[in-house]
Amino acid sequence: MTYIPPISGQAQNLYCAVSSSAAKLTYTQAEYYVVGSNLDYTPAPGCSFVEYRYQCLANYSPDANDLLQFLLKYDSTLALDPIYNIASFTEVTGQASGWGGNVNSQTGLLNLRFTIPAWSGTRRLSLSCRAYINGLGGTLHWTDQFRTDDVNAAQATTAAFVFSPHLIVYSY
Amino acid sequence: MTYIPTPIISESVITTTHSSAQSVSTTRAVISGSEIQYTPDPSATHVLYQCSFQWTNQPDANTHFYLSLMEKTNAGDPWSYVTDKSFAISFLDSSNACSFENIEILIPTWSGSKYLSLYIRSALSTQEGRLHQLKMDDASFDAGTEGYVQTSVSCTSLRSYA
Repeated sequence: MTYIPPISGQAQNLYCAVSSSAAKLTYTQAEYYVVGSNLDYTPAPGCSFVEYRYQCLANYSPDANDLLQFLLKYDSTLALDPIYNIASFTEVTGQASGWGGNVNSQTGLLNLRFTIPAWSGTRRLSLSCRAYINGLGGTLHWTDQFRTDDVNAAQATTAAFVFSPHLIVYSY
Repeated sequence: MTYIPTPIISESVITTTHSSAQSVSTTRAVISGSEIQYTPDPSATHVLYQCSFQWTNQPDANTHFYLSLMEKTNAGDPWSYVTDKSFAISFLDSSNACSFENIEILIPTWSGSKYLSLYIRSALSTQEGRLHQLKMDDASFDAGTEGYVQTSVSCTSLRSYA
């Protein structure tokens, strides 16, 4: 266990944004970046930690079984594009998260929260996601059968519905 | 990067105690205790809406809720959906699930006062549930006599450097 001493004080260099570019995206075994999770961030001077908080909607589709893994990664060169080069980013040690279930068709908001030691200079942060195997895939930013009326949702067929993820990053 | 020392500017919090469960059916309803009236700080760029509440699967084994962040300007206005801020909570393996949710939704700031709340409905009439009540206590399990959990809702003004 790593002991992080209590730190008091205001959050500094806070960045927050709501992504409007999220679309229904199914994740398989291939690692891919997560929309709205990337940011070039410089910790505030004198701070010890950076708090990285990302929220998105996860859905079981297309498989009732699902096992997704998220990795927080960074690029210090600021030259890599997370859309195309996420595999070349460096993992932030210990900052990962898993989500899934066995035949339970689960859906829910994921609130990923990582506390990482501050660094000097700027890093390009991004999340990646992949399924353990292709048969355990899941979908982000979307859920099925949503309706804005009071009828039985089993009658719904439209899938044109997304949840905009958000990102909050600050130093302390 | 611009150095901003106080990016978390102001916060309002409301807690609501419950003495009965709120049924969740296919008919949309505001989650009791999720409503808040809030005026963001003029210097804010975003508002973080947070709402925590308890749910259980009863009376149905499967649970599939749809939730939406709603808004209105005046108390008497109808609720409107906040764009792309609807989501689901589902457990569909007859798992008799329960959970304490801590929902947080970030939205761009606005000027003046606004009301926010969470709508909830079940996807199907066979996937209903109830809110604010525990699934167990020292004396019972799913008896409908279990204790109640308070609901908290808050809004926080945030100022992003970019």
